[in-house]
Amino acid sequence: MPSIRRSEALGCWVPVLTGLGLLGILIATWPDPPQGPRFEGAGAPTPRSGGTFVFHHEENVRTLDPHIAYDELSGMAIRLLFDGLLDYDDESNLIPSLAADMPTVSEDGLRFRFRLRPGVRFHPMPGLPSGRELVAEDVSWSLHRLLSGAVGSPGYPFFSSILGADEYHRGEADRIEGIRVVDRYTIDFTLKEPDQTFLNAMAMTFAYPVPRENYEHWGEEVKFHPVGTGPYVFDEWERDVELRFSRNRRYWRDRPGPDRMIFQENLARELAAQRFRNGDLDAIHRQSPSDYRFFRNAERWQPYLSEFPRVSTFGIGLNCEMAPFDNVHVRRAVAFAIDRQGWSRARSGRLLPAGQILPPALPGHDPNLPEAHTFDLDRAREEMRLAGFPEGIREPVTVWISGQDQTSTQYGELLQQDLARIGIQVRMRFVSFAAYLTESGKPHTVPAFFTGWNMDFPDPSNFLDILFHSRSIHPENSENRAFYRNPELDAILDEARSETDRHRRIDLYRRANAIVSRDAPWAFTYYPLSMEVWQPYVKGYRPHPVWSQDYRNVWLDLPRRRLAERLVGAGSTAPAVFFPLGGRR
Amino acid sequence: MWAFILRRALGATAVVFVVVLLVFFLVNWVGDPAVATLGPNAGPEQIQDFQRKHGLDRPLMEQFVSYLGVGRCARGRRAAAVEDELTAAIADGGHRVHRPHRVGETRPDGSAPRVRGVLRPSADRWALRVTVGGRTFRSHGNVDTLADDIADEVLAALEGEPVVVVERFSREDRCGLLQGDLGESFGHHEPVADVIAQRLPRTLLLGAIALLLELLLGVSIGILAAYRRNTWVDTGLMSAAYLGISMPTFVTGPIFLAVFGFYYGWFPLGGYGVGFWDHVYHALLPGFTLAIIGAATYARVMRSELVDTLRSDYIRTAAAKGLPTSGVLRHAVRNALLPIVTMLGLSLTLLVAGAIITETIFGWPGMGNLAIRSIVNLDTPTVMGVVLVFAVTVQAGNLLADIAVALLDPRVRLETSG
Repeated sequence: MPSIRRSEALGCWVPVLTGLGLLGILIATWPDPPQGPRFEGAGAPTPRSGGTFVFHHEENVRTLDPHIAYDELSGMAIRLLFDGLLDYDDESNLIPSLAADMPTVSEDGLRFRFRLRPGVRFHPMPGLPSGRELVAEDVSWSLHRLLSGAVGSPGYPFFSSILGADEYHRGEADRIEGIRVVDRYTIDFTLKEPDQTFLNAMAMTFAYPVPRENYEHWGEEVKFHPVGTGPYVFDEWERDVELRFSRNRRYWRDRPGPDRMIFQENLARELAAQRFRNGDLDAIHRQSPSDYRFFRNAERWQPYLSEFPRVSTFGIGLNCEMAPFDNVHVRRAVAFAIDRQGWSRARSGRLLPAGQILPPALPGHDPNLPEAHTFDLDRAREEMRLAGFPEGIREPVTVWISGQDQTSTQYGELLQQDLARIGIQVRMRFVSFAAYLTESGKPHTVPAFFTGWNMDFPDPSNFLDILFHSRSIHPENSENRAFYRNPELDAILDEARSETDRHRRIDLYRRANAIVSRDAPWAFTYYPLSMEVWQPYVKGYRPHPVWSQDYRNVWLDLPRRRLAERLVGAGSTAPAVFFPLGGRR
Repeated sequence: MWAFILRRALGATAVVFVVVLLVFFLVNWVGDPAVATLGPNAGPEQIQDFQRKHGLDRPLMEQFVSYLGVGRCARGRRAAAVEDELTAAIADGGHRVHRPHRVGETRPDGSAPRVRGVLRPSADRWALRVTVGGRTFRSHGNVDTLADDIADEVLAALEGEPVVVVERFSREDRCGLLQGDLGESFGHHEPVADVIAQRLPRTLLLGAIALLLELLLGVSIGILAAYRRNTWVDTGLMSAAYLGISMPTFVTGPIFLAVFGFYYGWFPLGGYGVGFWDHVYHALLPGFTLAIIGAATYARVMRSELVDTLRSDYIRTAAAKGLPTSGVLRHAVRNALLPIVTMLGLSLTLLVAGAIITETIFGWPGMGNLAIRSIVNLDTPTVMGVVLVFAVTVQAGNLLADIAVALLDPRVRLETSG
């Protein structure tokens, strides 16, 4: 139909020209992303209340029932809503929280008496619009629920040292013998045997007291209706999107803080970093490599950023029951052959080289440990000679690693390069995380594997007992995945567990730490570094050594002010107000 | 026609069943869900507890049978034991459950308070709901302690009557797929059906927006290109369509996010928002990303159909008789739209597949996002539920497309029933 075409010959140009024009405008106004903070604080000299603090995690919160939650991000929410009898200070020391003081311990180290702080109130709950006071009976009821077989809490093993806990868990007893309410504010715990980690267990989120009425009202639904004594009260939870809390105005510890907190869940780290740079998020943690490099190098972010080693240790687990790693010299050769500085460089400096199991933040860590694993090729070759393999090992060894992404491939290559220098060929086996956990927990299955450990609580026993005690070897699901058995180490660890004198106890762990480095069931590689960044108007925050993302002490220096950035490279002084859509500033 | 639909529906059901079978064994062979759920810090005790609680300590075949729900209602050995005990209690008139009170009697006025127990086998716990004169009391506990906690209040509500009447315990008997029960999610600690019920509307919203954009863009571009066929408008638009088909969402998604979300700040940086219109606003960018491929496909089909139609005799006649351009187009477009209608069913398939990637990129908390998370965490009941929903959607889409084609084109019916 030429007639149709001719009649609107000009019309066809309109959409094309419009499209080209739009593209041109887009390119011409291409904005530079913000290089520094967009907002700064008002400059208030003292902490004040008010505002909304927005933080995030990339995973989903699974439950708000402290008895069930066993993951980092549920814990982030639970610590805002609940309090424990004990807590940790900035130096990982146990301090009283709901307890008025640290508990008194009997001579034999078996009985702990806690005195509760009077006047602490639970948040409002169904039937109790103004909450009610926390009493010793609540602590007892909470622990009974936690340890009952029906609830099936993953926290149970941490409390199994309480007298009668096992019987109660198996349903053979009506109540736990070792828990006794003395009076309204006093409660006694009796243990089966002296166990110094009991107090750490009492500081875990599992042991946070909860009100019985709320659990009876909600039943299974209680995980969506948390009621605690904590600094924030639960408001709402849009599942997979965000949780909203508001400040507990009747909190027993009078301190200022944001009036509201919003916990955005299910937010990928790349998006979180972009939101943060736009000023829509108040703090971030866990960055992608490119975001990490950006913040590391962004001059204007440096005052609002902290980089610190997490209380975790990573290494190559070497199965002490499988050739060639049943030979201690081969294990030590591997330990001395790993170029930890090289690894750190390859990972843009996000690793702190490790030579021993205990990370620097824990007591028992020895910065001058003679047995510590370091990169020393001469020693590695000498150990290979002592092991009877001066020319190297002909058969390649299989090393398991979980995941098959860029990161795990990179680690695999680094290990291959390092071990090739001492004549050990490495064949990498990439498996899923679940497969790695399942298989490496079985004897005689996985010869070597990339592994690591995040603490449950900051005590050396949580590393040494679990990872290297022969008691942690089982036919399936061993935590001692290296299958390392050493009666000498076992004896030291058992002694340390019940030793009440703090100095003697730490000394024992120092010895255990040295033995593990000497025998090298793991070739220790690194302690991971974490970076957290917060907005300039976020005050009172500093990464906590024990709790990840602990925002309980945050306050906001409001009103925040927009920082006017100049046009990059243009020398103009156009203020932000000309670009209301958030484009160029 | 009905025979045709029935045959297709049977085929679709068979496909869904095969999918369920395959996926069940595949996800269970990948690794141990207990280990994946509890994480590296879990000891053997915790892992065994978990396996027992969810019945993972049984042979895989047995697990599959009870997943389907053809056998008796029990997910774990312990749950089975509880169930036995409860059955006995019910036969007993609930005596063991309501120990503190006499049971089996009615109130003096002959009315009976309703007592309802809900068994959740996987949770290994009972929930009991007692309704007395409009007030509801809930009790939670194990078989022995159930109802102890509410006994006093129930008594008070009965105005001093020292009798609690247990009419009978009914329990929710549904368990297993065939009875409409999808099991309990490991990670979310709640029924899979609830998890999906929460996510599905979000994915439907995103899908609806994507479909709308697809049709709007695809059809209008197709019409414009056909109308200006063999000019460089046509060439330009069709090249753009080629580009659209070739660009996967995992390329376009992050680019759109960076440009329109981060650099320009016109759209939110992922997420779902709060409130309906906020949801729609949040859905625009992922919806557009999801729509590109479909829109490009529609544009190409629309163009070729319309070009054919415009060449046909009746259109030429209409134009020759002096019908205005808009009238000619209206007639032609209506005829050319038929294949688009049949393609809509197939679009569902593409939207479902695309949702997995797009939702992950944009942090849209829907089914695709759930699929990825549950696969990574080996949350097998959730994986199964999601796969089932996807399989049914795709099959339903295909079925609709088949029916639409058959309705519009009798030759198809003849061939298949041939």
